Amino acid sequence: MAYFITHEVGSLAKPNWRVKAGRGVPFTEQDVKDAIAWGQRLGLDHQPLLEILKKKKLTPKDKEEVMTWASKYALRLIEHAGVDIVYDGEQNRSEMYQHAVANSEGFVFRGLVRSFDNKYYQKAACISEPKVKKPWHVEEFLQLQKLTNRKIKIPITGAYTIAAWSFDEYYAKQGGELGSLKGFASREKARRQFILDVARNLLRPNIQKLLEHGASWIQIDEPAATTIPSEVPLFVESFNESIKGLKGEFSVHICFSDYNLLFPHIQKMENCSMVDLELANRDSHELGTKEGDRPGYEILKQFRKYKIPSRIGLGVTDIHNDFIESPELIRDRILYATNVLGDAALVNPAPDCGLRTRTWEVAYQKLANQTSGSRLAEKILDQR
Amino acid sequence: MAKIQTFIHGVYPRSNPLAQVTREVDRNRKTQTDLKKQQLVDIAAVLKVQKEANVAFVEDGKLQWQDIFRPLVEATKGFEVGPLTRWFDNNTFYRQPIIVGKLRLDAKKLDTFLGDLPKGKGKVTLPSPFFFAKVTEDRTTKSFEKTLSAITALYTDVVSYLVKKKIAVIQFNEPYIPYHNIKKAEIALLAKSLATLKKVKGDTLFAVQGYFGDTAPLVAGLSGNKAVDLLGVDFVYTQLASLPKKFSHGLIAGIVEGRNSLLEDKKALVAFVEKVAKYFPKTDIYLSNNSDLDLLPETVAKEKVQLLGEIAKHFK
Repeated sequence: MAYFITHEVGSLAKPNWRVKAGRGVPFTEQDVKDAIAWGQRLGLDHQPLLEILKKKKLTPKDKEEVMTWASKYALRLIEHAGVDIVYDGEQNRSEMYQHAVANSEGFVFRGLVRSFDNKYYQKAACISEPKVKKPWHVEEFLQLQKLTNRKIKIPITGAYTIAAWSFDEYYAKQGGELGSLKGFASREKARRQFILDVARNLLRPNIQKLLEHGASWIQIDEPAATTIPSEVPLFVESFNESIKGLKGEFSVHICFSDYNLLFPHIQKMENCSMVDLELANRDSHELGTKEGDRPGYEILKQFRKYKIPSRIGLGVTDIHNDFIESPELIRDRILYATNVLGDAALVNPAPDCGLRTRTWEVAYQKLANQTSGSRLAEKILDQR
Repeated sequence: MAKIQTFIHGVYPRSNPLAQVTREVDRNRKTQTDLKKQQLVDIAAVLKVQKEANVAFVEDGKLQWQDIFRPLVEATKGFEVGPLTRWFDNNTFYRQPIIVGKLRLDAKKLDTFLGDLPKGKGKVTLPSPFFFAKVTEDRTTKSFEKTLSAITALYTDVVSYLVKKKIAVIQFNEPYIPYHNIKKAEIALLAKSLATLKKVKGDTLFAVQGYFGDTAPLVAGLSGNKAVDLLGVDFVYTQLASLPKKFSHGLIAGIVEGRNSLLEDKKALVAFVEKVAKYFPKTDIYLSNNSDLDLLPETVAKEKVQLLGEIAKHFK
């Protein structure tokens, strides 16, 4: 009998009461109403949270408890939607790049850089060999373990992305002079050293600590994997270095990227159980499983062609809009992928990426339909 | 030795206060008047840092520009603003221009995006017409040459307008050709477009700067082109030895890296510029950033402009 193991990918929006507690901003009546409504809907005994939300000023302990409640709510939302592999949607993290860099030695924030229009991000520079200041996600994992009985997947920002989103003021000093081949070669060498040091010195110890504390599945997030096409082999090398000698389940999430650039290089990824992809965003909303019906999932043919052994984290819901994919549409996406890959066990349905830009209502419906769609697909496969 | 001077090009980063105001405007917490006020403060700061570096020509920093195409797209009928698109291999995005009809410039609107520049010393950077045409989705034709022709026609109006404003240098930035390693035959299309624009340029100088890749093929393709007064090289990616010795243009030497915050070593840069000057003994050299500075925080960009000034001063 077929069974599609579903999972989530990372972030979920933070409830207003959690954001306000973090910022020290007073709660509104609406915040309390939301906490009650979702608490009731998710079957949580939320009275202790309401007691805190009634307070005019929160103590540090109160704030800590609100954060735990946010994790509890988020986990329960994901469980309630029927997702198999769970996480709390980064309720206790700030942002994927800043969080990693702020907890590492060897980086200093240089200031704001524009991403587009009026959106900016704090960009750091590497100024000495990167080292872990304090393992980033161990406390988070220990907390989550207490809050759920389901299998947890912990996302961690990948080495290549950390390096690609940072300036390099340390290794680049070894770069040679301008305008010469020798200079170009030494710059490339310095770049490789930088990326691999981030993998060995930051990622590996962090992952090791998580495994020591009982984590079993680590998702390495690499949105920058294909940003520099010539460096895709370096991304692969950095993945391998990040998990070298470690025992656990390791997967990679790559989104909003040109997936064609991954081939053939990802054949060299070692011990990568799953490649998690954003695909729904590129697909049609029409039903159908025939050739040409699912343009967003065409790339899967490359995975088959290159005999990539990893499972596919199949993005079946678009995280950038409120369109609620029907169970039937999700079913067809799963069936098409199963057909292309030739094995239902290789398909793990998921949202395209973290759902943090969606409301909880929309996120919940998308996740719930992901579950229903998976069950519909199983039914059809079982009848064949 | 010919003259060694300096100038900058492209989009300059916004300061933290300006970034903050733009965010607040998006959240309806500040007004357009607040934004304009802060933009003027920032433009004054950009002009000041260039003045202190004793630049040969002055840019306004394009602090109102959302990306290198947007003002041209918004000031031209027949364009639509398209989806976010990655800016080459950077963690930065622009909105793709889409042509949906005949292009007609509204010069008055374009003017709102231009800061006041000193007459006879002002410089404006635009995307090269070839680059612009390459990244544009043209819903009116599938022929690239027709798209390039439409952009060139638009640029005829843009250049005429800038010439009327007494802009001294118009720089066409061309990252597309080096990045994609475009061959000679296609580079000839850029040369042809520039030849068309030459007809309206009057005394204004035309500069072309390639970056994000080996610029030697672009230099070879435009070398001797009468429309091009200054020709740029990205020395982060281009071998000096691969450039033609016979060079009939001023040289823009992209020696300061616009994508890394590491401040270049002054001594090493002076030594390299000496090498370049020896290679091109009769050529005026303009020391510059290799690519736009807006991939850096504003404080770092400022240091890089100051460094360019110090190196140029060394050769005075």
